[in-house]
Amino acid sequence: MMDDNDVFPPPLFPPPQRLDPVQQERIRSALRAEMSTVRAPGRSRRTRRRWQIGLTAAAAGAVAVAVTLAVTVPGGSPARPAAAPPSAGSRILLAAAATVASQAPGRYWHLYIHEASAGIPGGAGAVDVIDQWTASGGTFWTSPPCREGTVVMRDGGSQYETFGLGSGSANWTYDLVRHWPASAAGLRARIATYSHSKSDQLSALTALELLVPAPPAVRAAAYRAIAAFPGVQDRGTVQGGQALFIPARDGGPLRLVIDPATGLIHSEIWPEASGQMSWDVDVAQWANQLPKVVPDNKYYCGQHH
Amino acid sequence: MRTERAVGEEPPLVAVPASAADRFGDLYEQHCHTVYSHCFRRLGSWSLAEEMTAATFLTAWRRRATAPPASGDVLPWLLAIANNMLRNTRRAQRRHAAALARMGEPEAASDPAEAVAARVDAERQLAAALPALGALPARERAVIELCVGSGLTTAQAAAALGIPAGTVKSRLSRGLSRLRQQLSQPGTKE
Repeated sequence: MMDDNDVFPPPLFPPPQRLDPVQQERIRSALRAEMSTVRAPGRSRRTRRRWQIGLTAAAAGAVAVAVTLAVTVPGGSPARPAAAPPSAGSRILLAAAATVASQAPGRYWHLYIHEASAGIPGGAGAVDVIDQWTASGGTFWTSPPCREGTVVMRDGGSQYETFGLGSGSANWTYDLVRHWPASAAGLRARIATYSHSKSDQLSALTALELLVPAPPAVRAAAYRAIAAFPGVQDRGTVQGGQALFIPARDGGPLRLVIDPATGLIHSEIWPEASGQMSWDVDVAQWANQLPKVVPDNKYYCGQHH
Repeated sequence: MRTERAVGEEPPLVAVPASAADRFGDLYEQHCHTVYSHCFRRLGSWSLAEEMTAATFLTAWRRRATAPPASGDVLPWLLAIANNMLRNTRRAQRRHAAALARMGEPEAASDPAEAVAARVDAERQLAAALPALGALPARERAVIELCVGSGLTTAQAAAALGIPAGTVKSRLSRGLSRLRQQLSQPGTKE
């Protein structure tokens, strides 16, 4: 690769830059503070000290990146058939499954979501808007912040555009998931090939309802698989549908608001390190037409403001 | 846009073993300069590059459950996150507002004279290249930044961009060809 760069006299890019030690420490401090927010009581001090020790070890070049192993909740396993009759909460999910089973896919999966990094929807914390159309192969379009009412095609990008699970997972696309099992147990087992974490699996199942364009049979299976999670609670009628609590993580339950009549998840609130991550869903549905597509000539919009 | 959302990919909320923080600390020490260079090449601003470097690692920490197991795959993973941050720097700033605020105002570099001289040189060089780079299609520019700028292999760039390696090669070839034309035109070459 660097041979290509040599053809440009002078070199195209400046030589690699190094963070100044002062800058490096500033970012390091911010990271430490962030890490300390997810640590169990009594461990933060020890961890902080150990990372400082680790800095010298890093200079020796020994870097292991099996972080996943260190933070995965043990004990996740494919769903077992539920022996007991479904709870009231599970019945709501089963009703949603029946609804989505009859919804034919379109050309683009359109999402319009308000994402808040902390606090309940509309509450405190930064709020971002996700406005995205995704085609079956994973190509997606978003509305650029500087040009409202239009979309630009995004190319490649990363594995994070819809959803991915597990190390180096590819982006989950319609084309990828279209042949996944249409049974709850089969789907759960399929997802378990990505992660054994029960929490990850619950994330994946909700992603198949919201983030990932998925065929009706897979969406229905995902709802049924969620219904099979132990401890699903019906918390009553709220704006947008039925509120459900599903035991998810040590920090608290996943809170969903579902309209079983439309199959739409109106709200997802995940317990988070320092609060919660919440999504307020305006739109999650198939569309057959895109808004006006404009070229993405500017590499990033913000620099023109 | 979804590019930075991490909800579905968030790691489980559990007590983080000290070893996890240690390992992530190692990862930061090894790759922070490369991520910083990448951000600077895209932004041409030192202070913003620093913020986006911080945002990248803060996001990477939150998404550590998706970190690739092989050490050779980590840099592409980080640069993919960085690219997501760079697509909308204002959103990244908002998302990490609290953490970035804790960083406070930039302080003087530890070796001001040397640092300032190096920065001026780099800025001048980048300023000469940016117009030509900016004229490229975004997809070709992205490949050139990763392969030529950050020195990723074709396979690593493919992983970072989520596209096939063959596509990386063809975009690199086309992009470099376009750049040569750009830079050979009068008025575009420094």
